Amino acid sequence: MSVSTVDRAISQKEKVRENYLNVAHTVESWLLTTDHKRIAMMYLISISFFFVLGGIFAGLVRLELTSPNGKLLSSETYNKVFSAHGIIMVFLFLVPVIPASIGNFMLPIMIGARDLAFPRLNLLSWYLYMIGGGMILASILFGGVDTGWTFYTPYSSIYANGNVALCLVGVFIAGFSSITTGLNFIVTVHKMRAPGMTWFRMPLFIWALYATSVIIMLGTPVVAITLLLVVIERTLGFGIFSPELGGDPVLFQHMFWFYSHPAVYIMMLPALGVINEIIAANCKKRIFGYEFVAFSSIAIAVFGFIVWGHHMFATSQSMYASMVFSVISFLVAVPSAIKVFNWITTMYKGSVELTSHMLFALGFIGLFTIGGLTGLYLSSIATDLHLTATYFVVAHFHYVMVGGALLGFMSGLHFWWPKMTGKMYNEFWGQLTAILMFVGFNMTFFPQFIAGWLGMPRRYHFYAQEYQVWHVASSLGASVLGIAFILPAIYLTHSLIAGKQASANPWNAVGLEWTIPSPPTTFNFPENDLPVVTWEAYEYYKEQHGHGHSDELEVGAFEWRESEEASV
Amino acid sequence: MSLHALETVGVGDDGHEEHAHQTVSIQYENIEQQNESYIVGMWSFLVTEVMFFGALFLLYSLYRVLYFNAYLEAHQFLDVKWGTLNTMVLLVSSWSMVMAVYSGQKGRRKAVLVFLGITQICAAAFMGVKSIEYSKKFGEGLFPDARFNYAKALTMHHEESKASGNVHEPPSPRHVMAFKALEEAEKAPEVTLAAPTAMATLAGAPDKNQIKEAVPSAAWGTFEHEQNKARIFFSIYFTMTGLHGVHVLIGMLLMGALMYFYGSKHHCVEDYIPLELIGLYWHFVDIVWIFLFPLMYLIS
Amino acid sequence: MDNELRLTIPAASEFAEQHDKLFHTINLLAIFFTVIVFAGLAFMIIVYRKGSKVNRLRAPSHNSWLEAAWTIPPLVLGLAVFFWSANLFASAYNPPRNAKEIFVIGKQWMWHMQHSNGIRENNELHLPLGEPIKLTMISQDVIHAFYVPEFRMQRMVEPGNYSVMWVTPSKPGKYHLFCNMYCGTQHSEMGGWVYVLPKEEYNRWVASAARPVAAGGIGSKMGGLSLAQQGRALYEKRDCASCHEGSGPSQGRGPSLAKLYGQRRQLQSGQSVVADDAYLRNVLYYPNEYALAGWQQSMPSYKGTLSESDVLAINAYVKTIGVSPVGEVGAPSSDAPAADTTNQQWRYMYGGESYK
Repeated sequence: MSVSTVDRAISQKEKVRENYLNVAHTVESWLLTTDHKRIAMMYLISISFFFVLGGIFAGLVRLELTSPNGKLLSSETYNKVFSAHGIIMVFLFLVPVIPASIGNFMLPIMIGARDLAFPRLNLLSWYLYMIGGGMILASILFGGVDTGWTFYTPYSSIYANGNVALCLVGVFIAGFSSITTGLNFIVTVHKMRAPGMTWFRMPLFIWALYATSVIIMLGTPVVAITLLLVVIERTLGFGIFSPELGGDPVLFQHMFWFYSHPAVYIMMLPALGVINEIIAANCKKRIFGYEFVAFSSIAIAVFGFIVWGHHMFATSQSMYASMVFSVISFLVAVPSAIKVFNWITTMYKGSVELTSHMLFALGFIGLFTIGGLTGLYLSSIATDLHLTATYFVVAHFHYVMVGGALLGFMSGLHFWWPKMTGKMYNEFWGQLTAILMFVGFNMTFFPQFIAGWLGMPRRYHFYAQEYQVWHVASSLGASVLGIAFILPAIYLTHSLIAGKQASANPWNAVGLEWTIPSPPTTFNFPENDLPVVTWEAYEYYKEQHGHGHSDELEVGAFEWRESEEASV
Repeated sequence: MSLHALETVGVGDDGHEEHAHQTVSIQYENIEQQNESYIVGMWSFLVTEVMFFGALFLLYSLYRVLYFNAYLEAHQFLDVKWGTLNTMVLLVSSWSMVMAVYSGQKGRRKAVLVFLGITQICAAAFMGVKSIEYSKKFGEGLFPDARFNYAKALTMHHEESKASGNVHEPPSPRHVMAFKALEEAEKAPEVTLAAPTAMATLAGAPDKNQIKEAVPSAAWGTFEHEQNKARIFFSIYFTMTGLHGVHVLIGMLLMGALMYFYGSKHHCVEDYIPLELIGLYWHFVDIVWIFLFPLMYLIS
Repeated sequence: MDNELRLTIPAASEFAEQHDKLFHTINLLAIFFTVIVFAGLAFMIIVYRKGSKVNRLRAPSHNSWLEAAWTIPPLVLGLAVFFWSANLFASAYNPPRNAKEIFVIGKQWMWHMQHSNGIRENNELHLPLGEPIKLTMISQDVIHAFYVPEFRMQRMVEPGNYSVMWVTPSKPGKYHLFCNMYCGTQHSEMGGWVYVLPKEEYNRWVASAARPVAAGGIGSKMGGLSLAQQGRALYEKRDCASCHEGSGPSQGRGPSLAKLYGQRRQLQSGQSVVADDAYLRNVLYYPNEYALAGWQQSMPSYKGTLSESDVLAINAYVKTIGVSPVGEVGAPSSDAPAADTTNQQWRYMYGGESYK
């Protein structure tokens, strides 16, 4: 019965069938769509746009820093450039990238739903993102913001020039875009799972998205109101954080990091989820220790909320508070270690295929390991007193957030690209990109660990000459990394025009998304015909026994409830 | 039901077809799933709202601990009479909202309209009282922007209580200080208006040091700090009640739309779920006030 | 400065030496786990690559013992590092009683140091070798951070709040001083040099700096009066004694300040506070909040009249009242000129010669 399902999926592919992409072609059909897949694609395009912008700013920073007293930019411009890089990359790229694009596309399909619970809210979230992004962009282009992405008071609220208020309102609105997405995901996971899709049959990517959504719902409003208070203080002169008006500037840091530390996990958890899918599909094995991996996501989400004080070891925070924050920060290392070791063990007795998305995933594990382990230096208070706010921290969070979230995103994008667009990209270029990105990334950021250990402060336009060698090395690496980002733009675009048609299941993976045609139809599953799930996640056993041929692949005991029904 | 019909109903709000049954959007399997989704969604949203206001309550409490005496003094400016009235008004609105939802569940359309109407009136009354309070604060110079003038407010407050015969004992040293600062400020009127804030300095307004020299520094220095603490209190007061007021306004808009749909027998209110959702929201708005009222107006 | 490849920087304080031991231990741990992960990945990829002829039967899907095996050791190692680190941090948190006190004021974009012997420096700090130094720091505008990499130590310098950092320099040399909390346009030029000098050399420097001289970089050292003497001059100019020492017409209006520093005081609000640096500063700025029990509070605020550096000077004097005599003083010294923050500052901060 399951074989006939796949047959049907394949026979559907033969003729040019209607799918979510060709169902309508007008501009309104995109701008007013409520289809989660179309919204995901719009997110993908707009997020990529902001990524390119943020990347250009990063390039400027690296170029300027090749000289210890760079003359390309003035100090004021340099400060605006690094702030623009940080603000765009954090709020407009890293936070939404995986949930809003890949997550938005895959979540309903992977749990067997026709759409998210609130399709119109989903569209609203995209518009909020665009409005927020537009305001941030406007603030950067007209006047600029030179506060850094952390907006520390009283600098941001009183002293800084430029369009700080407009930028903060933009971040506030973009925050609501994540809140609406998170709310949609939570309700969808709670209420829209297909019959038989129990919590512990969900793919781990869904677990990760769920944990992410919970963090978004709890953390984002706090930072939203905090930034709003800075706006009020700046524009109306209300006293909240400014010592000149009787406020406490360090209070801002507490409230800011209460969100912004969990925000790191908003960026990381979806990537960690993606990696599970890719490891399982490329080893043709169930993820080792599924429950441990699932609960480690929840543990990271919970711990993430009680470690914010480790950003303030060098303030006048009390010694005992610092110690508590420090010990909890060490505890976060444990669930992270659980994940990494479970992935390695998953490969044991697997059938490891080094596809491009697997290479990205392996790169991810490497960078995440280094990023996580360098976190130990910073959660340990004594070493943090030396390293905090130096390039060591810069390198650390780039390893975790860029190396982690970005490679996770690239991995997921390459994995699901055939499903999302219906086209196959060139595998060779994909693999080359994965390798280049890993190498370029390490070349860029490893020297920064050394510069930080030698005491190079972050956010410095001018610096002492002894650090120059590390800055030049880093900038060299950045150019390799830059090439690695240009490549996918070319071959992925090329695949849209001239790529081979993708089959329903090009990677021989299991999971509901691979049982439907590529690209999917508007409501994912045939009318009145949601799948009934009777199997656990990642059931690859038949392939493992060695007689797997792609067409005979057992994708699990799959049932259509009324399989006679014609598809859309 | 055909897929097409489902889609129209699920997407458009301008449904012209008469439906005998409650409408199920395409993404849902059945009406129960749809209703539960909406309820879960609303509760999740309220969790976000709790965090939103929670951060402000935290801020309020921290500064209360830090600036306990200034809080005590500043909170006298809030009129408990108006606050109590608003609390009563919102309690009534909560009750009428409960009745509206109950009537909605029973399918009594007219009763829904009546009770929603009562809730609307209460909400409007609440905003009315709020605007009276706000304009009084503005008049007293208690809006905590650059024109914040605590000396004026203290003076007026003192005069008022003297006129009503409440105060017989001599004014406190703090009041004396305030009067002195006010008198000095009146000698140089431009200084009063450009009360020294960093904002004013940045905007090219008179240099802070000049202001300091215009007003004999000793009295002013003390008073500035007094004033800043009160200013924090009023900043938090205006932020919290302002945000709460925005929530009330949004609630009024939502209820207005709901009344319009009930009035025109629109298909989207054939079941009581929209009413129930807005009811939940309204109760949340009430509860925020139930916390705000004692924290701001009552406890001392 | 030379461009040679350096992988280490000197550890120039006692804390830095302890810090480096911890740092290198974490290095070893990190390398150990990185090797395990990378080797594990490489092994799995090579042995279990698709198509390889290996036994894939009965692949395990979970194993609680194995999970425990990679949960508990990292946890134990992590906690061990934590205790070590927390212990070291605790020892670096509270300064010893005998520490030599230096006051630091940060402002956009320069550092201003006030030694207790009256020497003032801009963007430079001279320290004697082997003596515990307590830096009491405050900012006049935004948040800064005082960072000396060779001391492996930094501390945020906040407006309106003294923060304290202490070090015992253990190696003579000339070290970078950085502002390490982003503070605006010229953030990267807010810094200078810390000189750790052997005892005799330090004494020679003190002697030479006792006269007003402009030497070294762009700082100018105001000399002639000790900080307490400068404070006394201000104290007399503001007529503090008329209330606090009972010599003037307002005799007895204020409490005596003799041996005040470090005492516990009972406030009208019922609180009792220790008269530390923060207390002395706050009383000058916000006297109403610190009204003493048993006294009619009538002291005016000096916020706006006394700068942060004046307050530091007055407090230095107040600490000596009734404890040790301070010499006769002349006119109070004026503030040091502001730092030059053009390209000259860059050459000064980054282009100077390294200590040989």
